[in-house]
Amino acid sequence: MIESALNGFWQAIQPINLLLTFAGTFLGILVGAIPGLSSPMAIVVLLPITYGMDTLSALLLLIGIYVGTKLGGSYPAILLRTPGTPAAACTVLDGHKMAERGDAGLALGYATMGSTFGSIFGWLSCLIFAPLIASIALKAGNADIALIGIIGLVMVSIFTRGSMLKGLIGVALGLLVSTVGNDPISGVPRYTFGSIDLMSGVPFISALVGVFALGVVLIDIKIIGTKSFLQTDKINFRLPSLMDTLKRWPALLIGSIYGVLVGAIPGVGAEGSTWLAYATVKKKSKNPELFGTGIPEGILTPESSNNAVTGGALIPMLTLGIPGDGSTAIMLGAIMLHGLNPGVTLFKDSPVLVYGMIAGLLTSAIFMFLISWKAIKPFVIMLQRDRSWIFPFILVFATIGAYANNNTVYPVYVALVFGVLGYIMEKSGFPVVPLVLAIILGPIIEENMRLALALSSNDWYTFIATWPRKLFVLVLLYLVYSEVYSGYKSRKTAQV
Amino acid sequence: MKRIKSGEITFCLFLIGLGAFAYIYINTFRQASASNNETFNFAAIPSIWSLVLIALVLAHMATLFLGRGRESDPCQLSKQELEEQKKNNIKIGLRTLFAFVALFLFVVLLNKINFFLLIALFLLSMFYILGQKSIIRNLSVSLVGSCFIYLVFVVLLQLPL
Repeated sequence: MIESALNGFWQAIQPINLLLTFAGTFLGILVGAIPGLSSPMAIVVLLPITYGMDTLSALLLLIGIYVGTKLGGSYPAILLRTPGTPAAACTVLDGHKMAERGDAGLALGYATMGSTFGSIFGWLSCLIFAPLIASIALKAGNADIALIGIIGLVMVSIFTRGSMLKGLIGVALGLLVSTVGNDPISGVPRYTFGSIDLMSGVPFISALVGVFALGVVLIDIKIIGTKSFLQTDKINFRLPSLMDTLKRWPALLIGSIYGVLVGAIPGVGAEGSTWLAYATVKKKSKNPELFGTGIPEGILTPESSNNAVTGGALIPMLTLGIPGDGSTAIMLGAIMLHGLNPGVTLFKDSPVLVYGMIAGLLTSAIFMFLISWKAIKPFVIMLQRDRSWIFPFILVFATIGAYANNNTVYPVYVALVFGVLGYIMEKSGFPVVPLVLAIILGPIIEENMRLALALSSNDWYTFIATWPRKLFVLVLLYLVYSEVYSGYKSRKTAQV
Repeated sequence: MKRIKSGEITFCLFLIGLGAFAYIYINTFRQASASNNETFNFAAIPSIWSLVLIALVLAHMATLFLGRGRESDPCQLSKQELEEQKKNNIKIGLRTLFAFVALFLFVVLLNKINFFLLIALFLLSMFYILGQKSIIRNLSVSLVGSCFIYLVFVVLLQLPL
């Protein structure tokens, strides 16, 4: 294991991989800094660039983007009072207040320090816990894997925005869509209507491109023309001293711990962790009334939290094949595109790749710090750009991404259909992340369910035959029950 | 009274229809397939997911109708503000529709017209739809953008587009 870890780290610091990590981090900060653009969109749009690359190199580029967007989102949050990404919404509270006082440069400095600390904490957590969880996951049988997949999807439905019921509807739709194509066990075509293209199923990359790029652009057309007001004309970036930052260690540590824990839960995302961490640090503070007036802890907490999420979200993705959020779902897709099987055996089959990806978290954190410290000006300029110049290019890149995989138009049509579906779902208040995750996990769940039943002669008892499985089912039932109960209680309260 | 969005109801009805079609289609096909005698065969999982989808959508529609009348509408806007909001919504709606039409045509014409000429035309039309009125600026950015995409994807990355 140590040899694989060292090998993975060595691969990650090869010049070409370092260059790609740097490029990804730079692009990530840029994308995060522009309100309306998101990490999943950037990753899916840049996916075609990775087709011809080595798997680790491709993933390091994507990880760089993933890490970079977390810091980039704080720039408009501080300067324009508009978060660049949903995860930076909490940073607005104190970040913008500090900027109003004339300390915009210092606020950006605290955001940089917080993000870097959170990223490094996330990297350490992933490095320590991922191998432990992977070794436990290797003992999982078919029924265990199916149950873990179902629990993951239910958790996504519960913790994603909107009601659990809407999330579960997205899951059911995604699972149904994932059955299109040849049956994985008997080879019988399902829902192909005689089409050769449909026999290979719905290409999930096209679904991701459609939902996260085409659909999001169609939704975000409404923000074009909205004016941004830059808080200050000259931004003098000021990095706070290390001692000054470390003396606020409770904010950093609590933010980071929340980030890792929440990141590891599929579907919650960074925005959930930042608010939880902020509320906790405020509660524990000797001067809670100062939060929201522009204090450093008010920036350090959410920024360390939203960057620590990157390490947390990678843990279930690398060990169980369950993505933590939309960005890791696309990275999972990228792993599958390169012919690897992202499941419980990924750690065993490709340890160098996995440790290389974990190392990428550290190198991208370092690059993120350096880029923000020394080259913030281009990002400040870009965040004022009118999105009407950017959105058409995103649509073109996304279309190329769907087309270049097979050089046929079929995946592009699929992307278009999912773009429209994503648009309609967002407009109707249905979250799209459960749909996408269900499309990816559906085949894995089905195959393992049917194998488990075949091995037990169609005995459903196999799903609760062992203590871990009983626990999984209990967790599943508890999650659904608590969500239904809290919904019932809030309805009762509303009636009163 | 809390208003239920008609779009949401339409989408729910669409999902119910989709689930019903999926269930009926796969089970009609199963009967026709004589070689498959397993209990848990190729049609089982799609049948389960389609029934689950229908049940969940019906449950959601029930909560929508039951929740009606429990919350009051948020504070009312003035007549002028409502008019402005309506005009804005129409503008955004038209922009979205034209953007979708441009995207649809882009996809349909992908294999019929030179790819990079099509990209330039698509960019030009999109810039105009999204509010950029200067034809010269739109044209120059479209042409430069198309060349940039050619350089990156074909020359540098060697993608066979």
